Formats: sequence, C-alpha cells, structure tokens
Amino acid sequence: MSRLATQQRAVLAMLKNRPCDASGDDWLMLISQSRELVMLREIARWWRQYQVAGQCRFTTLLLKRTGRFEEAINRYFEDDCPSPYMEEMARGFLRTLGAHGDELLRQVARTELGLIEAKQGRRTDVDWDRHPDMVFAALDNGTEMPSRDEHYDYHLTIGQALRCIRRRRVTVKE
Amino acid sequence: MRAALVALACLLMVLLATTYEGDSPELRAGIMEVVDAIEIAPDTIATTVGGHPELRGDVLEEYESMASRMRFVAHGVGLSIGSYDNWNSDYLGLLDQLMERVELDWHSEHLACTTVDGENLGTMLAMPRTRESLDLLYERVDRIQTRYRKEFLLEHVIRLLPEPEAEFTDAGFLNELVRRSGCGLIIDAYNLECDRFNYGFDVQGFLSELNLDAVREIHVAGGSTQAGFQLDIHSRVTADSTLELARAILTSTSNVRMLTYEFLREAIPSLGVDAIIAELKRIRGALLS
Repeated sequence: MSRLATQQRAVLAMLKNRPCDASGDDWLMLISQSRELVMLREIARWWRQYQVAGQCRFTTLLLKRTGRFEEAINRYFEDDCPSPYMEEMARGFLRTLGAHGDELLRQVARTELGLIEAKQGRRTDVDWDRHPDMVFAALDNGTEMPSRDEHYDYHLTIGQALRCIRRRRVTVKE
Repeated sequence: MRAALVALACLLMVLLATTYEGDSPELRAGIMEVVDAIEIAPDTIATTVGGHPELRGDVLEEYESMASRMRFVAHGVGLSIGSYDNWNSDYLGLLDQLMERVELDWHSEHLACTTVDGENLGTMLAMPRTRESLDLLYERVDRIQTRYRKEFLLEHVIRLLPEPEAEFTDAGFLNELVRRSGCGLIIDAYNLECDRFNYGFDVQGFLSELNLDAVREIHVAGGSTQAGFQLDIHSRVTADSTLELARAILTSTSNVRMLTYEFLREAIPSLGVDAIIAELKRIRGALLS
C-alpha cells in the first residue's frame, strides 16, 4: 500500500473512532494522540449536526428533546457511510431511524423522509399511533407530546397532498 | 508613477464575487447590486435522484435569470482530488450539468481529500507535500483540463493535523503543481490567517516564495476560534487583517481576476442579508476602488 493510502485510511479510521494500528509509524502515533485530531473530529461532528438539523428538522427536535441527538448522529456517522450530498445524507439518516425501536421516533423519521421523497413525486405511507398533527405541533412549539391514542390509529399518506385517515383500533380480546 | 497606474488599472479589472446557493430572493437582489460575479458550489445545490446527485433545476433557473448581469465561476467542495484511491466522479457529473446551463469563467476545487475508500470524512484533509501527492494531483488535473478545456484552479486548505514528513515547502509544492500541470491558484487570505494562528505559519515567507503569477482568484472570509483553533468555517464578516492580507496579494501580481467573499448558507440567518451586502460594499471600497 502506498504511503498516501496508509495515511488517509488511518486518518479515516481515527476520525470515525475505529481501530487503527498506529504503532511503528511516528506520524500516525503523533496524530492519534494530538489535540488537533480531537478538534478535527469535533469539526466533522459539528458539520454533521448542523446539516442533519437543517435537513431533518422534526426528527432533530424529537431527538434533542429526549437527549439522544448527539448519540444518534455519532452512531450514524461512525457506523454508516453517509453520502457527501446533504439531502442524500439526510435521507440515509432518516431511513436508519425509520427502523428504530422507539415507535414515536420511527414515525417522525418516516414522515420526514416521506416529505423529502414527496418533492420527487414519490408517495409514502406512515402508520401512526397518535395524531401526527399534534406531534408536529408539540415539536414545533416545544409543548407536551401527545401520548399514544387509546382508541385510534392514523394512516398518513404523503404525496402531492397530505392525507390522514383515522381508524378505530381493533383490539383482540383473549 | 507608471507602475502605480498599472497596478491601479489591474485592481480595477478585478471582479468582486460572492457565494450564492439559491433560495433567497432578497439576498440575490441585494448582491446583484454590488457584485460582478457569483461563485457556485455545485455540491451545495445538488439533490439526489435515484441515488445520484443532480443539480436543482430551480436554482439553475435562478442563475440563468441572473446571467445577463452576472459572471459565474464554479468552486467545488467534494471532488476529493487528493484521495489516494479515486476522486468523486459524481462531482464531475454535477459540473457537466452546470456547464450545460451556465457559462463559467473558470472552475476550481480544494487541494484536499474529502473521501477515503468512498467514505466521506466530513472534513477536508490537506495533502502531504510529497512527490507521491504531486504525481497523483498532476495526473488528475491533467484529466480535468483535458475534459473541460477551461481554466482550472486549485485552492490550498487549512491544515489542522500535524504534518507528515514533507519533500516540499508549502509554496514549493504549489509552484511545482502549477509548473507541471498548468493549473491556476486560488489564495484564501483567511485560510492563511488560520494557519498562522494555529501553528505559526510564515505567511510572508509563503507569499514571497509562491509563484503569484498563477493566482487568478483571492478568497476572503471570516470565522471564529474554538478551543484555541481558528476555524475555516465561513460564518462572519472579514477581519481588517484579512483584507490587508488580500490587498498585499492583489498588489503583488497583475493576474488576479476575482476577489470572492465567501460565507456559508448556514450563516445567512446569523449574518443577515443587510450585513452581507454591507460587507460586500466594504470589501469593494477597501480593495477594488
């Protein structure tokens, strides 16, 4: 491997907090322990946060509200391979959260992804366990988040127009 | 006296440019009253269709509407001309699209690596000043110049990490790249100030060694310091010291054609449109009048 390849691959690993064997290379040893590397990581993190916050406003608000924003960003950027293009990067971030174990986060991320996809003429359907309007209003205004609706589910269709259908939840009695 | 007149005439020929990435009619109207040219960063006006980046049609229409009064240059962020493995060919696709719609005076990129093994670093890494880097860059600049037949400039980036062993000085590296490839240079006065602040870079020594005849464009910007580092995040108006440095470069060579005030789209709300316009007027008054 060329010297340039070794250097660039090592810096990539260090920036992403991945294992990197710097032993035997004075320069890699130097940067692995440098305050400059910490700063570079910080800059990269700052950019990512800024870009995600700009592109995924509601998901960011929800993550921040629950103290999970930084962790979600760090995990996405360290484990995945985000696109250098802001919009595609945002899509990737929302897709990842669209499979999250937290139902509310999953619903918000899928809806926000649907709004991006709608700009390109694609339709998205998202099932909600509470009224999405109330969730987005609560995020926007910083007010209390509505809890799960005890009686209804909401089917949101995002396309050329937004349509939300409320359905009485069917509960199976044992 | 004659030399002074020649220098003055050259200053008058320098165009004032600034960043514009669309979506702000108020900003567009304001800057069109003040500047001569627009710097377009293709990466920042890209959307993705089917997983591939494409330039936003609405922003291209904005540029077309400005074309009777404005000149344009493209300034890329994401080509990653210095990646050991490959550059980002999607960027060239964006440049192709841009050139189909907008007449560019020239195009440029950062002398840096932003992706490694296809992974985005989230920042720019300066190139090690070695023969290996030079060979790689020369070959890629040559391919770009063959592909576009349009002047191509490279801009030095700030250096945040400690340097690996170098075979050239900073200026010597750029001079050799210019000599071998025929590319031009952008000198970013604010980047030089960042390097001076962060690790005591000898700016005067650099400028006195640099082949200033290759410099076609000068960038100015303002940023902030954090944890003892001065960062190249273009979020503020320019400091007087940055303008003084830009003036020193401008008056040292007659080949500069453009002076560009750069700011991030994300900084527009905090800077404010009025302040951006006032800053452009200040720069014109200070350096180009």
